[in-house]
Amino acid sequence: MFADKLKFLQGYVKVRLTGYAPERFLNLCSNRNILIWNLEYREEHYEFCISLPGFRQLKPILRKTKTRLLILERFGLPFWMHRYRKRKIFFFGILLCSVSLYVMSLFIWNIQVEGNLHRTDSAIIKFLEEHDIYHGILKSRLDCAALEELLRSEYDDVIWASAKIQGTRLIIEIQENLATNQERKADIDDAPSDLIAQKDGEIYSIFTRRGTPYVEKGTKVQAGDMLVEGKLPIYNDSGEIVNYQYCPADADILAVTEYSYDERFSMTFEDKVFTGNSKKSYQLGLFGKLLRLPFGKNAFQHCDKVTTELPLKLGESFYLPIVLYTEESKEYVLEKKKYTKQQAEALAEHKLAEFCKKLEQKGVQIIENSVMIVTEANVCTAAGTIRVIEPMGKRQATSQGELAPEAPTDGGTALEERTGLKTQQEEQSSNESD
Amino acid sequence: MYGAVIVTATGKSEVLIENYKGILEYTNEKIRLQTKGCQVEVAGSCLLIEYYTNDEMKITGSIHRIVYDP
Repeated sequence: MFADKLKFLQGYVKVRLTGYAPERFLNLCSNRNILIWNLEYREEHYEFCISLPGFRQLKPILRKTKTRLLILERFGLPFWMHRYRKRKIFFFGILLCSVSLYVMSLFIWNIQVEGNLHRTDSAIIKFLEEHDIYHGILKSRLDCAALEELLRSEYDDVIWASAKIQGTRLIIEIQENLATNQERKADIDDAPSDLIAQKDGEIYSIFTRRGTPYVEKGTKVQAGDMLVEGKLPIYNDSGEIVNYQYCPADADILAVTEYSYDERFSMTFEDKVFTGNSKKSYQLGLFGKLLRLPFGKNAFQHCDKVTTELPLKLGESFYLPIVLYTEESKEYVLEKKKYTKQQAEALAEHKLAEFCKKLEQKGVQIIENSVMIVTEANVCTAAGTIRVIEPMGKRQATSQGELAPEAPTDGGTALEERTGLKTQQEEQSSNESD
Repeated sequence: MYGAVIVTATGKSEVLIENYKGILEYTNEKIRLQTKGCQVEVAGSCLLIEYYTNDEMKITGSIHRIVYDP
């Protein structure tokens, strides 16, 4: 095997030997240690293989034995090089390509962040850039262990971080501590707070968990009215308020409210009519910079542009710093058109349906819809009100000033104590009247 | 004995001859070699010298006889 490789590297020829004393020629060759192999006898002549250095020593032997050689075939690297001597650039290109491929593989071309729920990819990548870890960094300059340490120390809520290099991609996996986020939320919730009405309406149902309710079913409220106060009165044995206990009010309150709907649009509109002409232009992104290729310039007055981004990559994770952008411009002409009555009504209904859908997505139940659609010569109007049942209650911090009760109360009724429906003022006034 | 010819035959298709002195005759049917003290004749058909150097030669083909002539 090795001998075959050596023969190929040295080069060898297959020759035909004719003449007066071929046997003497063969003996002389062996005397001078010239290797000959695959020696065959054909009619009146011999054929054999001989290495190129051996072939060059044959001249005196040929003269001595009066034999002649005819080269039949040439094998090996020296002849191959000679045959392709005019394709140096081609081989140089192959070499250059492999070298550049190797050099490119020394850099990080893609950073991928996984497992982040609260922090966005771009925020983390920006943070990395501030600490000298960017797209195009040398792989050897990257210390994954230090990067993991950096992520953990910088972000409190990152409890686990892993950085690994796969091909030319840096993959960062993090695990965020969801418990701390919940705790923070709980902190806010612990502060004493009231629930107030955020808009006018009529209470549909109220279910209080904590706090003193100020309204009951059927109460009409206005924006800003107190619904549930985060303040619990504490009575002594004689029924006097001795102190207040503050807490975050918590209640499920549903209220019937109204949404006014007023949508009008012109009967005439400008419509895009595509002419069918389209042009493609190409852009090249090299190392994050954009190069516009000279051909395919845009010459349309009005057009829609669709840009497709094609990052070049080898295999799964070897992203090259080259991005090809294809921008397709589709020409259109603006035409003035007018809706027919049916079209306008359909459009208005569609818009109303969209509005209702949005409301329902907010957890609102629609109970009455009294919107009228009127089409006139130039304008289509849809106006009216939509009655809905929706969650009510906006959180507001409790004012903690009045710790001691101003007037003693003589034993409010059990119901009043339990539900606390009456405000303090009402209680006072009832006492006075008593 | 120093310098005596060594003939190693493997089956009937391969013969290795060491310590030969020269080729006297070579055709497809017969190869005659000069060695110390005698001549060795390998007869057969389709004989081919796979390689030969100063003191060693390998013959392949279908070998019928190996004859020592004094």
